[in-house]
Amino acid sequence: MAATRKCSSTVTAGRLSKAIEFFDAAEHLEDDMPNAAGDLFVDAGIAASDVICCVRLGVHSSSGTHSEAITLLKTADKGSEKHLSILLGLKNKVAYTDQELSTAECKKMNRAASHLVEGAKRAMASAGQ
Amino acid sequence: MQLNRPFATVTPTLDGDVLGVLATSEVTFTITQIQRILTTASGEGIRKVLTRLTAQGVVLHDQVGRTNTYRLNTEHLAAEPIMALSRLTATFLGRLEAHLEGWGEALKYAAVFGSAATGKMTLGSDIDLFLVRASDPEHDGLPGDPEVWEQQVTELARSVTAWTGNDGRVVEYTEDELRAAAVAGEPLLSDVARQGLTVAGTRAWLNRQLRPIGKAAAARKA
Repeated sequence: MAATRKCSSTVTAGRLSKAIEFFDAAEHLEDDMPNAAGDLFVDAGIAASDVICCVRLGVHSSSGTHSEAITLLKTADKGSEKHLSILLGLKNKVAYTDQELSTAECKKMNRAASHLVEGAKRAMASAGQ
Repeated sequence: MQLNRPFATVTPTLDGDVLGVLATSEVTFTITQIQRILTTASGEGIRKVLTRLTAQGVVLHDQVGRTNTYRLNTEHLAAEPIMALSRLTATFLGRLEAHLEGWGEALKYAAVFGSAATGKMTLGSDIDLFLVRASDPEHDGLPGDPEVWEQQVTELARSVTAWTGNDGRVVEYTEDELRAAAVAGEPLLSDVARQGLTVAGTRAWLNRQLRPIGKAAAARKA
């Protein structure tokens, strides 16, 4: 059983607000600071995934294990998990190694995070909190 | 209608809200889990609804130890229309996207904003639509013609009302007006950028037009 944390409407709204803020900041930095942008795309994707899980399941992942977070998101919204998987797959490279994120990788992360943030906003619109 | 309560279009009762939870994911739920999602419903009310729906065969009940679990019976004859109802918001946004595709390059960006985008609609809420029209002179011909544009906007508002029963309220800018409003720090633009559900164009494009808002805010703080 994946480690989860219960959501309240405050948690859900707060995570959505952060997802949007991280994403906007990442897009702003993308051209000049791709590594920082990549890290923020990951943060945006994780926060957006939490929102989708909160709206659909009433809980979000609190596990440090990537696979558990991906599985929980798949349960909440089948298809979204591939976007989170892309982001988490590049998380180590962007945050913990000396390797530079390529332009193509940064754009890939942008697309993945964008899908998740839009998905989170649409989940909120369809269910409210 | 309320996009955040799609089942209220056919039933105002808790039955619809519970079905809405069960229909959006293929997992089993306990009464407590459903209550956590619906927030305002009582556990006893949810239990009664689930008992009724189980009797109709549309919900499957299982008992694991002392825990009762419930899930939508996806093989039930009624499952397909139930799932279609649960997807009304996605259907609405998809229909808007398809409708706006026909507007061509005259339309730079469109989004649903306000209560319809934030899940806070009431029955009497308007559905707010934000449109940005190309200012480029090369789009002066059809379909960028002002009269055609005006007819399209009128038809859009009419369609939204026909699809939902709510008034469609359109806020429109040209690209030039958008940039000027961004420089002036128009708060509506920040709302659209943060909460809006994009149905034409890209949010990245909108954010690029709005960058002056961030700079203006930073300058004010300094």
